[in-house]
Amino acid sequence: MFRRYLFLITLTLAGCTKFVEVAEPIDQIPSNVVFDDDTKAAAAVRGLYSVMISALYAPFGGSLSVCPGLASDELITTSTLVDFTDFQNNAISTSNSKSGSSIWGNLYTTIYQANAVLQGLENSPNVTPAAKLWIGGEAHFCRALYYFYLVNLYGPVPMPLTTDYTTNTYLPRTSIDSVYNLIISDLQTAQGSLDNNYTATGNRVRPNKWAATALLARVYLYRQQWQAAIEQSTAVINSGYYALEPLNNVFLNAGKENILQLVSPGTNLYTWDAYVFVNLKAHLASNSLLNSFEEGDNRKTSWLSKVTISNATYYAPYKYKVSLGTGTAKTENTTLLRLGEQYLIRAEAYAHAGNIASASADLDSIRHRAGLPLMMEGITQQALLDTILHERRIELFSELGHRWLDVKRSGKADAIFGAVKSGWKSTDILFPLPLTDIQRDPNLTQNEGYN
Amino acid sequence: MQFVAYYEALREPGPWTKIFRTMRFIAYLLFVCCLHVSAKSVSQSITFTGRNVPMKTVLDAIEKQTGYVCFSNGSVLANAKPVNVDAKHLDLSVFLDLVLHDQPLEYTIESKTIIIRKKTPLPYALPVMDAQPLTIKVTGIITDDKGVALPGVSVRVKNSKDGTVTDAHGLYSLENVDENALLVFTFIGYTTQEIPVRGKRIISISLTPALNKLDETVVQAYGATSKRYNTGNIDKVSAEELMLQPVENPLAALEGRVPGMIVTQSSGIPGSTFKVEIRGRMAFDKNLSDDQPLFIVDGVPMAANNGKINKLTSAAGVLLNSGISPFNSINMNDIASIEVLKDADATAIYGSRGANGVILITTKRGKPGKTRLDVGLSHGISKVTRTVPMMNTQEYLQMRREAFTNSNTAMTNANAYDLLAYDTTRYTDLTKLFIGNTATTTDAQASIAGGTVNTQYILGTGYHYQTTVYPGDSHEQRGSMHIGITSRSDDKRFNLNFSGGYSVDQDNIPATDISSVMQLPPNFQIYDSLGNYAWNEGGITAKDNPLALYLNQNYPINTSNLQGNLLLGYRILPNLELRTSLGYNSTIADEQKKLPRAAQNPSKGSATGSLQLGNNQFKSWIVEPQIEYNTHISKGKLTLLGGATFNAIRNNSLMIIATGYTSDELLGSLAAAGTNSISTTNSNNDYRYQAFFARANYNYDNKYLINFTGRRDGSSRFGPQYRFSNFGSLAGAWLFTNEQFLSKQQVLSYGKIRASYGLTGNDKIGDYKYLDSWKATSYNYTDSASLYPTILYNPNLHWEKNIKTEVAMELGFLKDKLLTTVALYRNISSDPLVGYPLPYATGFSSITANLNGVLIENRGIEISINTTNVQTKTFSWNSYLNVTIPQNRLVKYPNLATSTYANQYKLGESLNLIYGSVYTGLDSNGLYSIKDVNKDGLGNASDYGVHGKTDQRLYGGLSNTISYKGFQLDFLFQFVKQTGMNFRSNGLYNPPGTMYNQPKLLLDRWQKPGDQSANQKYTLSAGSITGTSGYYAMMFSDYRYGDASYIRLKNVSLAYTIPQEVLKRLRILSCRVYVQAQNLLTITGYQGGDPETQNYLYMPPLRTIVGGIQLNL
Repeated sequence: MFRRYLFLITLTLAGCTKFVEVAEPIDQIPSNVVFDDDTKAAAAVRGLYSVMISALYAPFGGSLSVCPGLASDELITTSTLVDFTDFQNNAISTSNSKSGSSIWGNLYTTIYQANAVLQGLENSPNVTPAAKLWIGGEAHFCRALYYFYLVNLYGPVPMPLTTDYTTNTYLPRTSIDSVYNLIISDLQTAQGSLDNNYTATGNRVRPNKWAATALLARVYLYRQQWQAAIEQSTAVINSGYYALEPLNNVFLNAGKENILQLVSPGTNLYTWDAYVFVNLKAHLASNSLLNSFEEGDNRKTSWLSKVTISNATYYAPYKYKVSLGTGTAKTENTTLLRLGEQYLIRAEAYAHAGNIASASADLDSIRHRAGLPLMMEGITQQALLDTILHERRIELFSELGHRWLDVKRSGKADAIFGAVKSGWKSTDILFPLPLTDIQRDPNLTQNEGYN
Repeated sequence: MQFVAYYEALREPGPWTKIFRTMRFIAYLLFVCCLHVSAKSVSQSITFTGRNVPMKTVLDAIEKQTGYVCFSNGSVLANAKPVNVDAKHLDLSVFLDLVLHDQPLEYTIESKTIIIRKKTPLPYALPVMDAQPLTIKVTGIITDDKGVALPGVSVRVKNSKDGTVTDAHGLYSLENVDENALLVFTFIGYTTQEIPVRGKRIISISLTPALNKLDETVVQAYGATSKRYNTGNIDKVSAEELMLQPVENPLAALEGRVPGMIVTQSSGIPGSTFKVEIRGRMAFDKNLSDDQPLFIVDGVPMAANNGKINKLTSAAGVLLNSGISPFNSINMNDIASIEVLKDADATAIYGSRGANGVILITTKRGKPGKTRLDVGLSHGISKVTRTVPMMNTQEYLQMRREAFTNSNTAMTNANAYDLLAYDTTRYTDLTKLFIGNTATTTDAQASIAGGTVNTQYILGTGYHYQTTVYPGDSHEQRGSMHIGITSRSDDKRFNLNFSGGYSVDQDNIPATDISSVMQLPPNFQIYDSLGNYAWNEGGITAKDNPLALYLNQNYPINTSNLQGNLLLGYRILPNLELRTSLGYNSTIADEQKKLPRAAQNPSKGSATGSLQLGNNQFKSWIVEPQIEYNTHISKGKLTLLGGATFNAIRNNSLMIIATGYTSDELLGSLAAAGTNSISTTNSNNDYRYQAFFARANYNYDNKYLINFTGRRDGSSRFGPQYRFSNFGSLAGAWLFTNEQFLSKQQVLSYGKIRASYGLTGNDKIGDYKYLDSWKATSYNYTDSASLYPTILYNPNLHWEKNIKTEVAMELGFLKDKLLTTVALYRNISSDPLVGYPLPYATGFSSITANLNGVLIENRGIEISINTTNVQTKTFSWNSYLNVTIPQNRLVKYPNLATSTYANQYKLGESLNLIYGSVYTGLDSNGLYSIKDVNKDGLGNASDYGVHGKTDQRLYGGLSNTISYKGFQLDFLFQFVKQTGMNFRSNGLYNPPGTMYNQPKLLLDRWQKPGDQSANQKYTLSAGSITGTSGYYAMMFSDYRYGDASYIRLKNVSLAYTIPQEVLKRLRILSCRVYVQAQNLLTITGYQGGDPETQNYLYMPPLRTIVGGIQLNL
């Protein structure tokens, strides 16, 4: 007996430190394991797309379409939630959850993820060079996309490039120019790393070289580098991959207009945008938008639907037609980049560069599809630019905040929004940083007008 | 009524199928066990007195009294010495041990035959008789009142250094004892006896179990002690006190009974959790660090501890960390006692798990004697206690209209459909409709217990059924069984202690919480003219029908709990015992939540049904080898204990969400959901814990006590280099009333000063927080799996340490008729584990980290007073009062001002801070206004200050037991003095005037300039979040807090024991009938709802009245 116990005690002493070593959890993988082969590294980059569209009001789950849309003159909300009325009233609280966590928070979460992918690839001895190239290219593309929205919605923002929280906690704002430099260099890296073809079969739901080019065209336009914008958009338009589709086919996932779409989680849900606009009827087209359609514009009937609420008639965005399907293959995905915008980018760049004819031609491509008369010859540059701004408003309404960003960069926010929105202040053009971040990062300052 | 429910439950394949399966197994076990008992038992007793009696005479007497036959070789008996013996009802084997002890003889018993033969040499030497005239050798056997030998009894010669302890046979021998000395026999849980030697060479006595508060057994870590000889702070709640209360969850029965401990009910929903806080808040970060004590049932840590066990949300899981309690599945009737361990001395042996205190739950054991059958039945009703009266339609509509006028806003169908589209003459009292029903409770218990001197058993079973106050047939039922076996070998060296239990609990509660109902306009249409659920009155599609949601969307959760512990002991030497405790506990929760189409608004075009399934399994096993050694050094008794712990806890969970059901009938089938409409999440958490511990206890002359405990333990929750750490405590006590100089006085009957100091730790942060890990997203991207990073990892996570100090004085006056304890404690927590908030730029909103250098102090005073006010043969009255005055303080936080907690905590103040602006009254426009401290026209953090704390300032309980002849009346008042959130806090974001119904309290409002009112005018707008006036401004002020003190008549019990004479004819041993009530009366000035839950949008606790009968056959 004694000897048996002695044995037990010896055994336990020997197993002392081993006992408290637990196996890794079944539902988690340590990061070094994630990047030890091509397959898991590829799953890590797919995670970027999953997360950015993972939930209702994730950045591409409706937030970027709805919030800037409400803040501008194109949408009104039926919701009584302050989260939305704040945007509509241009009186966004510093604790607004949509501005604070849905957009700002989620974009930074995905930036961390992109940085983690880039870091993981860099430190991995096992991922093949070919995989490193395309996976890295996609991560660079994504990071550029997130910073594009951050810098446009919030102004100068902190710019973490690593996953190290000890430094990222104390980051100050980075100048707008520096953020754009990173965006441009990330997109150029992506252009150099990605294939002309789409990696996934069938649908265009992962960025290729042309997606990077198309976003770069938009970035150059925003930076007023007209020639560069013309070059990039021309490259996309002439790539041979894309064509303008009839109005009702623009957002179908089989359409050739797509440059990049994202797939919503599950098979029931087609797009969050349709869920918000068509199913929930949470936000509607504003009168200002309705009134700005030209007579005979087919987009008014194709892209808007009539909604009756409490016996009154309203119109809701109807670009995406189906919110919830029945489990058969989806026909619509959330569009991030499409050819129509590239024509408008080139038109605007041509117009600024003084090439009125080419600008008019590009604009006519869009107008023609909408069933509108072509542009008159001899239009002045300013009139043409105004027309392009108007055309962008109609063509791109309720799509990821184009209207808000366009008016903002045109410098006419006070004139345009001030005219239709009571209580408009010039400082409303930037969203507030979340109060919690101001409290948690001592080097962070709040945007003007939000104290 | 209760029988109907009982038998219905038997028919349906509910918990009973499983119970019966378990029953079969246990019945088999019992059968085997009984066989063993009948084969080995010699339950014959002997009464014999005599001096210098020849051995032959003694053996004759045995034959006569037992019918046994004694065989012996005549020459063997010739060597036998005459015996001095004085035995009353001694067990035969004990008696034989006694008379043969000092003889060169031994015996065996084989089926009614006693064989006496010459002794073979013993493994250890017996002392040899000494013939000195003045000093003699005294031997004897010490037994309990049932004749069972007691090993380990301390035998001391009064006022000398000499002493010993009894061996495994209850045998002792002391040499060189003065013929006129006084022997003192002391044993934990028994009344100490002093016997004069007067020349007797054999002194065998039986000790009687202590019935007084000072000497009754108190369970401690790895052993037992008594209040008198304890060096630490342990409070005991006995089964008698627990059973006074008609509650289902044993934690509920602890409210108000233990000083230094706060038990709070999170909601009145059946099955919901209770928070337990021992000696103040230690969690710096309430969202991360769990400051619940460690719960141990019969030596096995509860696998789920006191966390919630559900995965899905339901009416029970509204608040953070609230949900379904694992203690639901424990039948209170199986509990023998609950011990609450508070100071370093009592808890340090639990090392890194002891920082928040330890609660030991011990289940019932059988007792030797005749087989007893106990049967109990009770039935009762419950209703909600305090609800807040909400506005009726007239008042509500008046509020709304006034708000439109005040806000100068036109009513439209979009913003005022309650006024324009709804029927404004309709009124439904939604509170009454949804939580105003009467719930019933039925409880049936049966247990059988008995055994012999060496083997005892208990087998208990219970059934509990209760309905809810909700509409519909939601209910909870539980079936349980418990088994306890204690056995030891005839040579008393080997002992075994088994306890096991299994229970199944079915809880069926609404899936949605009541807040969604309480705030609906009171003219909301529930039924249409045909009596069907009404939808979209006036074409308004905004809201769901709450009744359709309640009745069609149910949430059944089935919980099962299996508990088993086996304690094996082997006494190698008389004073050296090896023990091993083996335990297993598993809690499994199975949930289902269905949202059928019938529950949803049909106008939501593509409404489809959804199904959520949750399965959560907690499993814990533990092995604890121990060794214990007793010896006497000088005039004191030394007890040494050493041991090791190996504990593994695993939590597996699986959650499935299936959507897209087009038919409600198929809602149970996963296959009927479309492919890829199913999302699953699973997780697996492993926790390993290992330790080596030791305890040394030295009791010098029952006057000076020293106790030392030490533990080295390791937890898998920390990074590899921080896993192990050392903990320990040192405690001492001085029983000054045992000193000579106090022996003459009569007033002070008991006096003890004790002090303890030690270090404990906390590792309750969840598992794997040190790992840098990625997880799969719940849905694939396109058709391939995708991964995302889950947390910011911190490899430097280490223990949160807690240093506990306590000084206490315990006094007993007038033969212990008045017993008091005053304890001062101070606990300092350092390096608290927190989810440190981070800016989003880091990618996450927090990281699990230690706040190095931060100190949190909890200190306070605990007073408890036990009095025996009257004690006569027919009438007695006892009272018990406990009061705690706690204080919580943030002592140290380097660079608090620049930390992310700068606006949350203040140095020198409580962690439960009321931090915000100062409410200054209504402004000239009738809006709430706050003090703009820096006069910048804005209300923001720069205007905030500390305006009190929400800690309990004082709390406790007063209980009384009054008995007169067969009647016994017990009542318990619980009292709390505190500040808490009042009704203004509850409607966050919904200022009075918006489309949410409000409490009638808000009828008192500002209407016109000059009005003095407690509440602002009705408005549609909450105002600016940074404004100095308006609803939002108030929400950041101290005005949302108020006095939440209360005195509650927590429990009343009136019982009548039917006299023996009446029962004899019915062949019933005893019969007791009773009426019990819980939460009968609450005295409070609290504004809004219940002062305990502090939110009128949650279910208040229930008031329950139960009647029952307890039979003993």
